[in-house]
Amino acid sequence: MTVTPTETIRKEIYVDAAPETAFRVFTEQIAAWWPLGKYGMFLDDAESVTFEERDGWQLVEKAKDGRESVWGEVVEYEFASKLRMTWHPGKEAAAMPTEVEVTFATSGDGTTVVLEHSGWERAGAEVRATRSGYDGGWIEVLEHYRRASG
Amino acid sequence: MAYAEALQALGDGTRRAVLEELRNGPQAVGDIAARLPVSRPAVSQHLRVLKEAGLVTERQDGTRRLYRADPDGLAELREYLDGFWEEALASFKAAAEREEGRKT
Repeated sequence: MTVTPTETIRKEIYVDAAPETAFRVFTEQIAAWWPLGKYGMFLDDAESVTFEERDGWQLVEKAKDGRESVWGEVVEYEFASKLRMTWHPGKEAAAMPTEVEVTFATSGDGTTVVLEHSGWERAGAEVRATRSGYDGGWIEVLEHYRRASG
Repeated sequence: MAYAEALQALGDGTRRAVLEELRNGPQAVGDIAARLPVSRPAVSQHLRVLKEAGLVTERQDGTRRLYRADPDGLAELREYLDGFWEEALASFKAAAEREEGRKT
């Protein structure tokens, strides 16, 4: 099978905590665990990353000097069960139309968390659809992550 | 091949489209140019960059030069993308389990 960079990325992880706890930590406490110094737009200058209610809920990273980067918008929210959001750190949604879906399911005494990051193929498809040049952005973001992670 | 080069090569939307075309199998420059809004010389140029980044290989087939996506190069890029979420989720797991421990 040919591996391509546009397939959905799927990650599954078992968490020894109730779905309610896991969901709350993923959303309300994202700043406590997201490796901001390594994966983010501001890196060493980053101050926080939080879900904020604006035009709907957005995931927002803030820098110490007040700059902001909206990473995505929540499009589906079911407490302790499912979170789906657009994912476009540092870019307008149209320039990086990927999506992240995280599901939480009871599994024994804990929770199985599945994360799927999809939509990578749309960037290429858009070139064909619009028959014009396309200045995509998601790879720049990844490059940013890569530089930061050395 | 370093994934840095692959990421850089894919930083261009047209190049991503060219690579997508090659998912359907080995093709010549003209085949690709016929399906994309890009001239043949431009496609050649993009293929050269993709080749240098280890994402595409070429071979001679009679009078035609065929290009195909290189699974090894792509695999390395995938690994990087996977690693990013892997690390974020491991950190999340630890935080959620700490929080659960505080509760009980």
